[in-house]
Amino acid sequence: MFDPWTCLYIDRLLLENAFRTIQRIPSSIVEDRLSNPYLERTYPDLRQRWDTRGAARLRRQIFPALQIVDIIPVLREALGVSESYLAHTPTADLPEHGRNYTRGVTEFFEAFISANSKHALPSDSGPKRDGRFGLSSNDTPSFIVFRFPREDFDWVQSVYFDLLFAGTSRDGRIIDQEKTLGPKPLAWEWSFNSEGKDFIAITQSDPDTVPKYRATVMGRACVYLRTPILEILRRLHDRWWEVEVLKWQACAERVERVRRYEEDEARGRLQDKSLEFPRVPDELDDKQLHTEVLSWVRSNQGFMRPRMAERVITEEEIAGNRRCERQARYLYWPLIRRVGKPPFNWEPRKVRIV
Amino acid sequence: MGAIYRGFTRVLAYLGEEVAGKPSGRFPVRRAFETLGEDESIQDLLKYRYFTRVWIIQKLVLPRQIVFTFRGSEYWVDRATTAKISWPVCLKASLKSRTSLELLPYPVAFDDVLKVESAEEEPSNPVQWLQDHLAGQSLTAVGLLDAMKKTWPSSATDIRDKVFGILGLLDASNHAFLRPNYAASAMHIFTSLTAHCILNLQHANTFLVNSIDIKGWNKQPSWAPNWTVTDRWPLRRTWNFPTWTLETDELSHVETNRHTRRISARYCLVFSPRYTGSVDQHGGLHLYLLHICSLERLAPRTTATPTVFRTQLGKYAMFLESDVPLDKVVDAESDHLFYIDAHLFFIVRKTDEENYRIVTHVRRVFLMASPLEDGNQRTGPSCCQNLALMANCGDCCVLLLFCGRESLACRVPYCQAGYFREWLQLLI
Repeated sequence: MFDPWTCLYIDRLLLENAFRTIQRIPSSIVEDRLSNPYLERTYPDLRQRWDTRGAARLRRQIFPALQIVDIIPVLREALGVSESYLAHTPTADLPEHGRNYTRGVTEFFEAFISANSKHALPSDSGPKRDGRFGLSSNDTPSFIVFRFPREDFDWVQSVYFDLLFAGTSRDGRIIDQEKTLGPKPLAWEWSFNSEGKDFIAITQSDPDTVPKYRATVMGRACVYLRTPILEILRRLHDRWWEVEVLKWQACAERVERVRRYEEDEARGRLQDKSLEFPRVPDELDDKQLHTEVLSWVRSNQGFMRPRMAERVITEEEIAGNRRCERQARYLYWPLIRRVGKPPFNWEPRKVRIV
Repeated sequence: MGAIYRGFTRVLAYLGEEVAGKPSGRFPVRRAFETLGEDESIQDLLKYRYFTRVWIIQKLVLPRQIVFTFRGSEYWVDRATTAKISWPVCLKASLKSRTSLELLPYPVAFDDVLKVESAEEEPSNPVQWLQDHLAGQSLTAVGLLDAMKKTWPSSATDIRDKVFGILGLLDASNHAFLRPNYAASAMHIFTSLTAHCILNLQHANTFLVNSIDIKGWNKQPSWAPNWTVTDRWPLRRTWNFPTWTLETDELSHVETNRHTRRISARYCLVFSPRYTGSVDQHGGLHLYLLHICSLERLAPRTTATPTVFRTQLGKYAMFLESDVPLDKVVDAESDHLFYIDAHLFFIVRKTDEENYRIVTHVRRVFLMASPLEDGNQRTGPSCCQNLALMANCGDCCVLLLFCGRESLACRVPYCQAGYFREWLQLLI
C-alpha cells in the first residue's frame, strides 16, 4: 500500500475538507456556487455550515485555487482510470483560468464520483476547446494536500501552529491577521481520509493575501508565499525531505515535456532525454507497479539533484532503475529530493523545564 | 504613582539640613544645575543614599523639573540644562575613589561604561539612571527590561520593588501583564516576568543563557536567571559570536567571515524564532524544543576558553563549544542536548520522567561524520554519505546539509557561498 513516508504524494483533495476550509465565504457567492445541484445533493447542510464572512474569495480564489499540482497520478491511483482518460493532460491551451469552471467542476465531479464514489476531486478544470474535460492550472498551487499517519497528528498540529504563529509583530505578539491583514494566509484543515488510516491535510497559501502579509512581517517571520508549504513539507516528510514546490509554469513545462516525450516515443524517436525514465514492464498490475516505484524511490534515497526545475535527468542517474518509467513521474520524485536521514529527529518535542 | 508624578511641573528634592544647609531666613538662590560647582560638588550631591533608592526614580524622572536644595542653594534641572553638565569630568575620580556600594554611589559616565565593557564585570552604578536622564536619555521610552537594567543597581528593601518601582515610568503596554501585587512572592513576580520575556517577547536566548546554575536549582526554576543578585544585572551574559577557530584534527578551521555572516543573515528568514510554549502554575516552562541527542562522555579538545568538547553521536562526531567545563558538569546518564529556535543550544538534565532542568548553554554545535569510520582521514567530510552541520553564525543558526555524492562542501570551512545561495533559492 501507499507509504506516506516514502514519497510526497499530493493527494486527493477531499471536497469536504475544501469546503470546511473555505467556509468563510460570503453568502452571495455561496448562493451562486451552492446552486450547483451536485453540491446541494452531496452536502445538504452546507448552507448551514457556511459562515457568511470572507467575501469574494470564492469567486476569485477558492474554486480557481483548488488546483493540484500534476493531477494525473492522483487520478490514476484513485480511479485506476485508463490512459485515455489521463490523456486529458493539462496543457497550455486550456481555457483561461476560471472560465466555465463551474460546469467543468461539476462535470468533473460527476465523472470522478461515478468512477470512485469514495473520493472527490475538485479543480479549476474546465472543458477543453475540443469539448473534452481537462485540468487546468496556471499559477502556484494554492492548495497542497498531503497525508500523514494518524499517530503523527499531534506533531503535525504543532508544526502547523508553529507556522501559523510565525507571523508575529516585533514585540512578539501574534498579529491579528483577521483584523489587520485580511484572511489568514495559511489555512489548514485535516480529517481522516476515506480509508480512515491517514490524515489528509490541506494547506492553503492565498496568493492575494500573502503579499500583504509578507510585506508586514517580512524580515521577521518565515511566512512567505511558498515557504510555509515548503516548511511543512520539509518537516513532514520523514522530517528530512527537501521539497521543491514548483511554480505551475515549471510544472506545465514539465508536463509539456512529458507530452512531447510520449509523442516522440510513439513515433519511435526520443529527443528529450530528460524524461527517459526507467521502464516498467507493462504486464505489471498497479500494485506491482507501485511496489516497484517505491523500491525505486528507496533505492534512490541518496539521490540528490541541485535544481529540479531546470536540471536534466541524466542517464547515469537512472541507471539500474529502468523499470519505473510511467510511475516515476507519478510519484513526484522530481519535486522531491532526499538528502539523507539526520542522526536526530527533526521534530520539536514539548519539554517541561522546571 | 507614575500618573501623579507625570502631572507635576516641578519636584523639590529636600534631603535634610545636612545636604540642603541650614535655613538662612531668606529665599535660597536658585541656579541651573550645571552651575553646581565642578565635579566634586556633583559627586557630593549624588553620593547620598537617597539617590540609590529605587522608589525615588519616578519622582525625579517624570516631573518636568527637579529642584535640589543643596548647601543653601536650589539647583534646578530640566531637559534644557542637561547638555551642559560635564559628566565625564567626574568619572575618573569617582572610579578611583569608589569604596563601597552603600556609601559611595560611584558615578560612571555612560560612555565610559561602554568602554569599560566587560559583560562579566559591568560596574553597577546606582545613579546611572539619573545620569542618563539628565543626559537626555529617556527612561520612559524604553522597554521594561531596559529600564530594569538601568535601575537595577538602585536599592530597595523589598526586591519586588525593583520591578514595581519603575512600572510608573513605562508605558502601560510594556507591563500590562504585571501589576504591583505584594500578595505575590518575589519568586512569583520574577518567574512571571521571565516567562513573559521568553514566551511573549521572544527573548529566550537572553534568558536561557543567563539561567541559574546548578547550585540554585532548589531555590527557583532552572530556566530563570538568578534575580536575587542585586549588585549586578542578572542578564549580564550576552549572546555574541566572535570569530573563532576550532583546532581539532577533524575540524581544522572554521570561521565566520564577513561574507558568511551576510549569507547567514538572509538565512534567518527561514530559521526565525518561532518557539511557542507556556508556563504552568507550578513554574514549569513548556517549550517545543528540538532534541539533538542524549549526551555521552565529553572530552575536551582545546584548552582555551571557550573550550571545545567532543562526543560521539552514532557515527557522527559532535563538537560542543562552551564556556563551562562540560566534561565535569555533564552527567552522561541523564543530560541531553536540545536546540530552541532562538538559535540556542543548551544542555538539560532529565530529573524525572517528565521534567528537565537547564544545566548550561552551548555556544555552538558542530556535527560531522567521523573520518575514521569513513576510512579516509584526509578528506574527512567529503567522503561521508550524509553530513549535517549546525552552527550559530552571527545572530542566527545555520543548518547545513551535505550529501556525499554531491560533494558540495568537502572541507571546512563549510561556508561556501555558492552552496548557500542554492539552498536559499530553494527555501526562500
